Amino acid sequence: MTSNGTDINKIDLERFNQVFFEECGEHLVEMERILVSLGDSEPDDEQLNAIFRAAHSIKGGAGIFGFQDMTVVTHVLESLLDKLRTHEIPFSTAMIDLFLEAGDVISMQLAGHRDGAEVDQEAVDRIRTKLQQVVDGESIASTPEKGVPTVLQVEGEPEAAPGATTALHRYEMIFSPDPDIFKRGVRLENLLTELGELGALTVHAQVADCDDFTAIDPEVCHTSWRFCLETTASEADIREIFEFVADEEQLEVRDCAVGSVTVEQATDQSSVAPVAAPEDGIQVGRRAYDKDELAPAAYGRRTSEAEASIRVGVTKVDQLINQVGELVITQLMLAQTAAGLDPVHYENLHRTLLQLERNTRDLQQSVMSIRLVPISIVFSRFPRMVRELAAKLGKQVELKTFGESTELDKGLIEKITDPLTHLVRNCMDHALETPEVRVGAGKERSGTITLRASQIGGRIVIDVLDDGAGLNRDKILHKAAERGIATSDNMTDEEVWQLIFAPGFSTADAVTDISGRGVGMDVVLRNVQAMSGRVNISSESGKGTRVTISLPLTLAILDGLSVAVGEEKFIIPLNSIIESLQPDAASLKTVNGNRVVQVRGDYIPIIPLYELFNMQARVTEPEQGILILIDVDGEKAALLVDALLDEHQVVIKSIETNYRKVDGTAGATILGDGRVALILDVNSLLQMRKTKVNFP
Amino acid sequence: MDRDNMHKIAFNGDLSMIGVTEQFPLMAQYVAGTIDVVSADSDVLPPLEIDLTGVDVLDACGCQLLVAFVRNIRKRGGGVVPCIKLTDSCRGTIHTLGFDDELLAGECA
Repeated sequence: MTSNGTDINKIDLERFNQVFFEECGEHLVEMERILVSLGDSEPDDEQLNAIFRAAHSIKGGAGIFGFQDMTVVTHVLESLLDKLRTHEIPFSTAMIDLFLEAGDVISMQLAGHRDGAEVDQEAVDRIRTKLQQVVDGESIASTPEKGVPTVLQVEGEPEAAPGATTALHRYEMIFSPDPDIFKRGVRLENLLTELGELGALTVHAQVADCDDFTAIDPEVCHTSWRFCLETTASEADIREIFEFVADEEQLEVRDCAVGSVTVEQATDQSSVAPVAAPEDGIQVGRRAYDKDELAPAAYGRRTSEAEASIRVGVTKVDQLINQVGELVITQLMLAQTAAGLDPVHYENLHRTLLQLERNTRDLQQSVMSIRLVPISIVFSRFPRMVRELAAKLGKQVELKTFGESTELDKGLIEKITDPLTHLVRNCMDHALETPEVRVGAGKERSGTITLRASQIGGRIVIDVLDDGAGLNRDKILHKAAERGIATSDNMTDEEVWQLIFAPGFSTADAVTDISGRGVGMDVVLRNVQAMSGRVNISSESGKGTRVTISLPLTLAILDGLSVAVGEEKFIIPLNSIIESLQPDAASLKTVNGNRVVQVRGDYIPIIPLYELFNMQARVTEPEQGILILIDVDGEKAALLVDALLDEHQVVIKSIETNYRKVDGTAGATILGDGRVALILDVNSLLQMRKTKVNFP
Repeated sequence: MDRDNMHKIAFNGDLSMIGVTEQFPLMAQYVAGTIDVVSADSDVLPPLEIDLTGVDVLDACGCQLLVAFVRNIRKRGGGVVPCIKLTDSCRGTIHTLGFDDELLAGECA
């Protein structure tokens, strides 16, 4: 008779581990956020406690989940933070760098467990030693860097309070855990190992009797433990080890050295109650609010918001979105089929289909909102980057962020990180001047970088502003000419700024490890365009530069207008349409060989879609068709189509994935009649018009 | 101990919180079978060897289940403690978790 239970083991452990990884990552982010926000000032008690809690939670989680290596750094970090909290040692600004470095090492260890990334053990040992040195009252030695404080002496740790930890205690304990402790994935062996590190430990497990073996639930804990520990540690140290697994009353501690009643006596009185939930079901202490360890904010980190949330894999959400998309298409097909049915005879059907449409739309919006996440996730990475680059470059920089709660699609959040990083690094390296130069120019010594996010209509707009020197028009024109890019002195500023998006373009006099290799702005533009986004630059010499990135709210659905051109149908995004009109012959002109339409005094170029896509059209003359006026960042154009059809909310499908990239399109969708319609990328259409791509 | 009449039961793989639900039916099945044997033939069961050498993962949850299993077998077997075959790793876990008295006492020689 044999049995093998290994198959499910890996899967379930991964599930538990994933929870720890996510929580650990959040604690690290929070720790870094607080540390960076300090600048050079001393943390107040609340901030110190928050950092301590983060380190403590990471250590506790790592121990419970069996990542002992991660407890090494966190343990000594926690010790140092604790000494700071209790004012046993004074704070110094160099500690901020030390804590940040410790956070980096813990992140590296986390990545090692989560992604199998390589862990630099030397770095682990190095930071551990550094932290321990400070705990022991030695100085903090950091790598000398420009603008970074080098060596700061921390005053020696005072002698331990007399009798605080020198006395040898003999603790006898009874641990009666929750019945669900196993289900929560708590590894008691790790906990006992940690307890054993405090001193000489003996352990005795006592399993409750059970008359009917076949009736027991093997996943429920029926065991209590008695421990005897001889140690110099305090009761608080012991309770700290159990903090994440037991309420205070679940761990009974007797210090025999001070003549308390023995655990034996206590055991006799209580008969080692075999671990049952409180009879009245009322939980006290941490368990009362942290029953489910798989909850997003378990292990002592729950917030009011997190209490009402669960973690769901992105794949599952995407699958849900895709299925709702299919449902929308099916609903459109039904609506189209029903449109041909007599509204009187089929009144009930039409009414029900209307209800279905409303419900489907609501469902789609609800599902789409699941993928929306705040841009603070991206913004939060910059304070530290700015801090470190400022120190490296010898500049004084203040980073301001606005609109951090602005939400956009998770996929966009991931893709926007690199472009924003490029832009901020450029600001630091090129745009902002050194304090001396700024003072000479009559500015504040400290420069400012502002990140601002907002939702405007169906788009998210992110501004990166600096109050630096501004773009140098002459220098850009000169560099462009050197690189063989066609330029002229008559170019507008806006056209000149566009030159910096050319591949390999850089006006930096020296290549640094921060920027200046000319691999920045073209990548920024390409990445943003890949998200159906746009980049605009405005700059004023001596006052600063603003780079504006405009992104769609989501890449999955779109409000569009369907139009007919020949036998085909196209979708034009509604947010780019100003109006549609049927021009009269008098309003049509030809300028430089290009046809334009005059609308309220403006001459707007006409783009015949049939020409652009090389199609057979029913209408070739503007006065016989419909002109749809579009606006892309202030630039207007009139698309010539045969007819307007309907307004739709369409589900965007990637045409590139299923076919190939088609210029001028942002994807495709399936219409109610089952036909595929191309979704126009109006920005790309304007570019095509300028470059005459695909024009006959 | 009469090794000729000895029953053997072997557990492989995971005997931790993750795997106990997979292992439990085997134990329950054995216990159910032995109950029948007791009532039908004899007051005393043949001795049992519990082979844990194929167990890769053992934790407190698994130890607890083993204790309950061993107690039941002992009760049904006239007080004879089942013989348990262990790896060093499992022995270490049992010791760390304090289940020595009930599990290591019956370790096979």
